[in-house]
Amino acid sequence: MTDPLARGDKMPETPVGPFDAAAVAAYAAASGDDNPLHLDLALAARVGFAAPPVHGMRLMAEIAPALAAWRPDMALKRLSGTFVEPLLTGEAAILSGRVLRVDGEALVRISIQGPRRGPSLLAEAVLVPKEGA
Amino acid sequence: MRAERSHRPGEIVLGPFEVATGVGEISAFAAAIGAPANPIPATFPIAWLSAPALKAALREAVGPDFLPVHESQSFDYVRPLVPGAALRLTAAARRESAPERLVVEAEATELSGAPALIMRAALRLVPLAGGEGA
Repeated sequence: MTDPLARGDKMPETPVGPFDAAAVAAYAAASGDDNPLHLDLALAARVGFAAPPVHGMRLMAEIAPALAAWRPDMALKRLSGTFVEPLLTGEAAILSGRVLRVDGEALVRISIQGPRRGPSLLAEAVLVPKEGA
Repeated sequence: MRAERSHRPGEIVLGPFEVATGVGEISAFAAAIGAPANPIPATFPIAWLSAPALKAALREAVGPDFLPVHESQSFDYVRPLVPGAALRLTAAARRESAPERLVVEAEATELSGAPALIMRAALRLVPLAGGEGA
């Protein structure tokens, strides 16, 4: 895996979730994000969800380990993402990614796609070669 | 510990706060995401926005009639994060309307003032009909 990244290179697809209520509660406790939307069935229902949505940041947390497993020679310089559609407790998703551009840095577009039409997370990562790599 | 000075119109500046970079917090976060604690998980700094003083100020900025929903997030890693590093976080929060949103931009700096990390969170504010008490 020492070939430089090239435009069009694909990350291996990785399963994400499903997350149960205990996993969501554990993330809430460790991150300090105890927004009741993720923890309270009644509140989630009031906002129109069949089950509480998983924290978007819990999904984003999948990206750096997946990138590191794919390209251990690269370091993360920037990570950004938009939480497009919810991923509800109990739903499974797939992480996939593709290199959009390489110019010293590599720009990787990553999506975490659940059962809805749009992705639950649409993200971009900027990777740079690790020093000495 | 809030709204010490006005930065831009409608913007509140919070901090600087010392942030947690202890092995205990990092390990707990890593366990909750099923990832190794070394290197520090890339999204660990999100927990800094939930430090009690900052969280209370952000909750006040959201107000009781809205439910915040995380819309987007970015992290720019200026320097590698190191366990036990002494870092200070300064955050600026501003409300936007149409749609209602709270945008939080935060910078973690070393004690020398050198930037270590910049992050930006956009929270969509969903109106709760009749407010929390309804």
